[in-house]
Amino acid sequence: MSYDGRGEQPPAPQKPVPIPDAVTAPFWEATKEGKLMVQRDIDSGQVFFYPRERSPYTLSDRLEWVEVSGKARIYSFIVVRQPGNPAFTPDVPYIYAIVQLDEGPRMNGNVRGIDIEDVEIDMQVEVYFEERGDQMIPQWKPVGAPDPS
Amino acid sequence: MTGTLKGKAALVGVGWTPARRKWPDKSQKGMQADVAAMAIKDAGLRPEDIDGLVTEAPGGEDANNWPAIMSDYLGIKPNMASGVNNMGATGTTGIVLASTWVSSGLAETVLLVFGGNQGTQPRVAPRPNPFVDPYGPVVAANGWYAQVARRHAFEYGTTDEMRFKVAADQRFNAQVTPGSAFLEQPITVQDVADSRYVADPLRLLECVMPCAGGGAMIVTTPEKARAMKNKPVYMLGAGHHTDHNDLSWADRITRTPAVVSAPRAFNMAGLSPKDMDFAQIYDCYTITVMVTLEDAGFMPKGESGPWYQETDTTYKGDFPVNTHGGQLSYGQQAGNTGGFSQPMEATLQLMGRGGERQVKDATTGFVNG
Repeated sequence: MSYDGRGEQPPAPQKPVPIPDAVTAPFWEATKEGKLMVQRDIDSGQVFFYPRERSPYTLSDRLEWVEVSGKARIYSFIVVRQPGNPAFTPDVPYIYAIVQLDEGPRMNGNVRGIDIEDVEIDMQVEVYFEERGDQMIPQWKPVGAPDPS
Repeated sequence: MTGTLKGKAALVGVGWTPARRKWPDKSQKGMQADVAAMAIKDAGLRPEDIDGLVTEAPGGEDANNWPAIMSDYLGIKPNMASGVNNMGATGTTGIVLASTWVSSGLAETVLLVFGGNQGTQPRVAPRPNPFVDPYGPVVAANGWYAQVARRHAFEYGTTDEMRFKVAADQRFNAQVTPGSAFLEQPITVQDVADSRYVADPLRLLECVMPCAGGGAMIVTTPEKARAMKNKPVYMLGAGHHTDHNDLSWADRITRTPAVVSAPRAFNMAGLSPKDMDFAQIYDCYTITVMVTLEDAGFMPKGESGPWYQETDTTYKGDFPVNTHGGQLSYGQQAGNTGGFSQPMEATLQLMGRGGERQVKDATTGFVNG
């Protein structure tokens, strides 16, 4: 799409779409099936996130992907009023959070389906998946709430 | 004690520009050359006396070649030269590096130089992060420290007003610091509260303003230092710790690497927080100063908020913190000169050159990057 200066609008900024790579491909295949998966170090049994080629506990490359419960608690969050990327301006204000999975690892995400004022650290949330381009990205909502649209 | 830097190196010269939003007529090499010249002259030396170089390439420059580029530009031929990349700890890491060189004889007179000509530096675009970018983060570290602030409130009950006092006290110091970008702009705790959110809960006046400018210092042996015109400032103890880059990987986001590095430094010096006459603490945000002071042992963990409410931390108060106003109220100068401002200010104070903001009878100080 091009901007030729004769009245067409320049393309609107886009929300980033994750691009799978060799390490993360299984994660993004699983989200398309509605599953949240993380890697496990086979030898030490420890799970971790973000995805890596080697275990951050033992540097072993004997890793497997395991499904987690999708349950988490909010570890901390900010209320975004000025996004770095203008594609997110229509959503302002929104929550950017670090959530801690019940299994231990932490992830970044938005928390939706709840008023900003009611969001608290340590509240329980669960995963749902939001369509983003050709991917499904994990997002977070209060336990039992319907998937936000 | 083996493996100690205690008394093995001294800071003897300082060169530091004012902080300005932009410095359009100055190249970045020129900025660093200016402060190098200032520091060398301040120490009563000549360029040919320099046999060591520690520096970092500012944004947009050739980081791979920067030590050689600056050697070339300054007309020096050092026997030890190195670039340093440690984010805000670049300057303090550089001082430790220079101290190890002079204590081991690898170099005798080391120039440390940092600087850049604009506040918001061009950077190589970071790789897209598919686990962060899709969620609409805020700019730079604003979001990460805002997370820390909110978690600190949850864990310890720290209020916004407690954080605001950090900014207000430091701005008071900046009013008498020549070169501050905020001269004649005093602020109160209420002014901080009234400033707009940058990353809720952090407000604008709790966050640094990127600026242009540069800083340089000279590190040499104690023997050479004693013959120089400035009162030598001796290295007594140093410690470093690296914990994480991604905030989601930290065990506890309210705990900083200072929990390891500060005891290492105090141990080497044979001193403790109560022996310090002031603290110059890396201050990209108000909350950063608070968690660092806690982890360094200046007060129990979680109690920096009440401590700030009860303590005058201005240059003339009970325990001065960031006597130049910190980066928050001097301006965060480019090329990690911001993080070098804390050791430069400590050096000036201990040389007795703090001017109107001089901490009375200061002989020993704590510096963090």
